[in-house]
Amino acid sequence: MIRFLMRRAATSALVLLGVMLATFLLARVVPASPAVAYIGPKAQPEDIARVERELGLDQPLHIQFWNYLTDMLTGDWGDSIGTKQPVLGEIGERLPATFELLAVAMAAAVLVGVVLGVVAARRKHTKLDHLIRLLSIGGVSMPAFWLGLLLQVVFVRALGLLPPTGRLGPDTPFTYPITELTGLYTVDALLTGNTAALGDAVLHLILPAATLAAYPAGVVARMTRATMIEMLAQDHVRTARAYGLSERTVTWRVALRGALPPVTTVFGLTLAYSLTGTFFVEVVFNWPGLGQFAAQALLNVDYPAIMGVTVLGAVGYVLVNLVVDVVQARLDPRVGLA
Amino acid sequence: MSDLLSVEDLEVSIGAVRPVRGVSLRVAPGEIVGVVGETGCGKTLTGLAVLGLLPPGARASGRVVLGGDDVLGGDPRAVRGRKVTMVFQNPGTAFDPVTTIGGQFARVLRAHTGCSRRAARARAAELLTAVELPERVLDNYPHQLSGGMLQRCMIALALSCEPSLVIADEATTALDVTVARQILRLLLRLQREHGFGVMFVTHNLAEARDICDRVYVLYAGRVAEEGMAHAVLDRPRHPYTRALLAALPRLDAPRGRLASIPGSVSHAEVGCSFAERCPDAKDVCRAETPPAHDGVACHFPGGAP
Ligand SMILES: Nc1ncnc2c1ncn2[C@@H]1O[C@H](COP(=O)(O)OP(=O)(O)O)[C@@H](O)[C@H]1O
Ligand SMILES: [Mg+2]
Repeated sequence: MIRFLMRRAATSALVLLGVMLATFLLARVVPASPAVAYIGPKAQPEDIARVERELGLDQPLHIQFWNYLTDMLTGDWGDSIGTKQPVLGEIGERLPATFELLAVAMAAAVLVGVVLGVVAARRKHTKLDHLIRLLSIGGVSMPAFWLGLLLQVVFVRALGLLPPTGRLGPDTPFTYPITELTGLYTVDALLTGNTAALGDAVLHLILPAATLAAYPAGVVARMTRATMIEMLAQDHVRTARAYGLSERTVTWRVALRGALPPVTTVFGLTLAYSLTGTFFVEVVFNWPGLGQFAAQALLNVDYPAIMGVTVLGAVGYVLVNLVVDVVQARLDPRVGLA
Repeated sequence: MSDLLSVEDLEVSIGAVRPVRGVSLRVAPGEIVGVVGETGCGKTLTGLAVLGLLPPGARASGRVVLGGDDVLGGDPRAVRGRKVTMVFQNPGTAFDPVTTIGGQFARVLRAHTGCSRRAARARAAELLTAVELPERVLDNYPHQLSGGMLQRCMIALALSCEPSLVIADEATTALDVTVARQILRLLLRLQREHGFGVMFVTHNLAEARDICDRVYVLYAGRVAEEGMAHAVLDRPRHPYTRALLAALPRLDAPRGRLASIPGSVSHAEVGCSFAERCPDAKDVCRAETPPAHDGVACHFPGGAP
């Protein structure tokens, strides 16, 4: 386990170095001048020269990259050109919102996907199975921004059941202010017993989380169905039945347990996709998280912000993969951590 | 004595094929009954029918009564794991690969007795001792154990249900000869100690002769011959049983010659299914299905006139 983690840490560091080099080069070769962007459209040549000196843009590329690396490692991720604030601080402020959205969406995706997949496998070739197939294909093939808008039209405009955008209603911060502990509103509200704000935060989470969960839930449902059908036909499942275990235990404990490793793998793969998905979902639902920040940064050609978010995304991706591999090894004793 | 298991005229069809076509057999309490025959003759399906565990798409007719419970007509879960269990052919795949042996014992024990996790573990350790395995095996995963050890575990698991009938389906076929011997001896010892009946399914006639009280010889889904193990296997009356025995490799046989039964299994609807391969077949054998008479389903038991 220790050796596995060390080896993975080394390869992860290499991956991150590669990502940083790529973002760095992209930022330097894209024609728009960062100095101009920093000062504004009315920049004078001497101002540009001064700012380029200040930002170290007059140095040779490898020195610039070295400086960039050491700055990143020491927590200096530069200042956002848009907000003139340190990028790391901006990211830290928005990370909890994105994390909360992602965590809720992924948990929902796994739960819904697995349950639908198991039910479809048990009732294969029935109407219910076809309905679930339709749902999961829909979830997989609908673009997030489009699904988000669709859900808004139905649940907000037509039915008026759910709030349209944001993390909280306009009055909540004043009537039931949330004491920020973790930055995850649901957790904070729960910890401080602020039930009114908790309810509001949950209502605001439903639509964006559903939008984000649709793709991974569809993928997980398809995979679970296929693997469960395979599992239910296996010898050891027959053994379980022969020894008198109930059909419920056979399905949910024996067969599903065996189906989890491949489902985990597939779910891990969709996570990368979902990280990008937050980008659209946050814009559509005006969710004050990293995705929205990144979208703004892109529009503003805000290099430090773009690079910061990209590197953070890469870190998140590497971590998620690590977790998936460890979970995988825990779920299937035949898989070694090598 | 009243029967522990009574199977009457069991037929199993899967789609258009009818692998079991009218099998009747009985097992008395504490009796070891062999079910022998070539691969594909319907032995496993017969065993699975007793558990009410036929593969999906299979239809069964006839009567299977186990300790007073009608298995085919009623709910097979009333008997599965309670009155009857099965020791399967492939110990390597018969266990859940992602759960420890202890976890698998706990699942079964707790389903039957609702006991605590700790009590289940203690009981599982006892059962392992009964099959001469150390307690630490409980913490192993199936892939960490040999086939022989797994088969011991399977037998211990079968014991956990305190069954009155154990169906051993080719329980030693996947094991090498010395291990197979040990497993057989273990099964016999436990059978004496606990007194359960055994339906001993095998294609190994030597094994059947060694341990069975009575045997049924199946051919193409029908009982060709039945009787006391020694009577049937030492003085076979059905030509198929004779051919099977002749096909056994013998150490004292001349080198370089291995006997086999010519032809392959036919599933003719009329006539004796063995007629095509039978050295003594007459016209009547192809025209009429021989009725079972005195334990032999043959028009000319004991050889042609
Ligand atoms: N799940 C199944 N689907 C279709 N045919 C089957 C299935 N199981 C068994 N059979 C058929 O039934 C016949 C008897 O099978 P089986 O009882 O396993 O034989 P045995 O155990 O005597 O070797 C086989 O020839 C096989 O073709
Ligand atoms: Mg078989």
